[in-house]
Amino acid sequence: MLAWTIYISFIGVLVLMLLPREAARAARIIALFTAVAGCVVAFAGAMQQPDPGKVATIVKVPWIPAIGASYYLAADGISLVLVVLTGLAAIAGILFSWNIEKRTKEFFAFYLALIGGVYGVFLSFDVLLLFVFYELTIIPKYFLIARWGSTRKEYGAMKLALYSFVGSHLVLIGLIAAWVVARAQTGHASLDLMELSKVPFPLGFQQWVFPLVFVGFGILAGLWPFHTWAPTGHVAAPTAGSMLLAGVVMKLGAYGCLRVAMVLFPDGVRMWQNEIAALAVIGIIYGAGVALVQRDFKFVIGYSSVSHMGFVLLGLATLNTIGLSGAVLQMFSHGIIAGLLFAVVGRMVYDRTHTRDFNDLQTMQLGKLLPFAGVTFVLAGVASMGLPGFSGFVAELQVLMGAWKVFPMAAIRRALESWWAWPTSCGRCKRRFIRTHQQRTNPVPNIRWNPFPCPNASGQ
Amino acid sequence: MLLATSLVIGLFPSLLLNWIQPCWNSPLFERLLKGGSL
Repeated sequence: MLAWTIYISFIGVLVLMLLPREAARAARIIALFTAVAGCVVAFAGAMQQPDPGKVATIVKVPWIPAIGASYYLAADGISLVLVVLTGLAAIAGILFSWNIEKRTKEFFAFYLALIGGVYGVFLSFDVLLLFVFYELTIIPKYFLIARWGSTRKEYGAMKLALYSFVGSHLVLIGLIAAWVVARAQTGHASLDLMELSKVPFPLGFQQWVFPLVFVGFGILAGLWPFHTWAPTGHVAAPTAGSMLLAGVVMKLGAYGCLRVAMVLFPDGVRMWQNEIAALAVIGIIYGAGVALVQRDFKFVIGYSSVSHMGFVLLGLATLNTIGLSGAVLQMFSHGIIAGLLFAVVGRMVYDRTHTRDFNDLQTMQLGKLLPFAGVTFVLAGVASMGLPGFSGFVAELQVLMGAWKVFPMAAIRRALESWWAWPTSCGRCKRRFIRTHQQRTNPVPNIRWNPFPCPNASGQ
Repeated sequence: MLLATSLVIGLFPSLLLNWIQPCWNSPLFERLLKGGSL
């Protein structure tokens, strides 16, 4: 049943391509219907899974027998969490893109193709199939940013595509090497993840292949120092693109790190465990620190995404069940919260004020003019900070508890970092939405919605 | 919808953890969590 999440998305793409160009309203409705159908199927499929601890095969048919590739879709509890996240993010992204007027049907066709590819990655248990779906997501990402983006959109799109392709090449080299060695050891060719996970790859081989595959996937997960595509890509993307980039696309990288790199090369993980943890902690602190000095609202959220994804990577590096559970929960939590933050900034603030610059925004008294946006952003902000009661708290707490067992110093450093993140984040919310100024340096545009506009004093 | 989801998972994390935690007992993660040849 879960396979229909993929098929429904691509059927939606086909239907949109058959629509006439001027049928913008129909394109929006079809896209929304497709996303809702995919989400319902994801939820229903997840509820039907009798035992999330076991890998339940959805479909398995030979694809390229000569190299042992098969069309193998399956799901366990981790896949279910991320498939449900994708369903929710897809619906939210379409609702927040309702005002797209330029080439509407093409926008939603690329959007649904991206969603279909993401579902495919989370459900693939053949490494070649997973890689194909992973590559498939790069093309719609590029066009969504380059065509419907804003600030330096061509640069942001090209940077994202180049980083993704470099990462993919590293992964491909690692997978080909793994296939060759596995065939020599077992005597038969297979790209089945379950079979490859049982192959005892030599230690020397794992030592050099594991970092290739992990870093290849880690680039898309915002692994420091390969994170620089993320802030520029988020800023350049349209609102729905930013929501998907932060919400689900970064999760593809982290999922690949866990599902492929760590499962196939467990000894390689242990050899590089400390280095991964160090990069993750640097990413957490660096992302948070750089976010604090940004003047563009989207850059702040982009860098904070790098910081939050550092938690995911730190959780993966713990190699204990509590840390790994926290990492997967953090993928879900960050997907939800980052999507919401980008929606507030893009749709509620930027579309009405036409600026994301803090110097301009803090003169506008947005707390009075856009109270709903203000309240939503503050709530999303506290959820992002990890306030108890929101998903980020449980996820980050589990990662820290897992890290404490293995890297106590890293956990202490991160806990101290969260102390100063609290007041600074609160200060940011206050300056954007609550702060009042005696003198306005910039004219405030008329951003209140008025159903009955009347001529002003000059009669214009 | 997104905020409500975050709140629900924050208040009832077992909704997702009941899906995630059994996975670590799967044969897929056996070598990763129970030690390999190192």
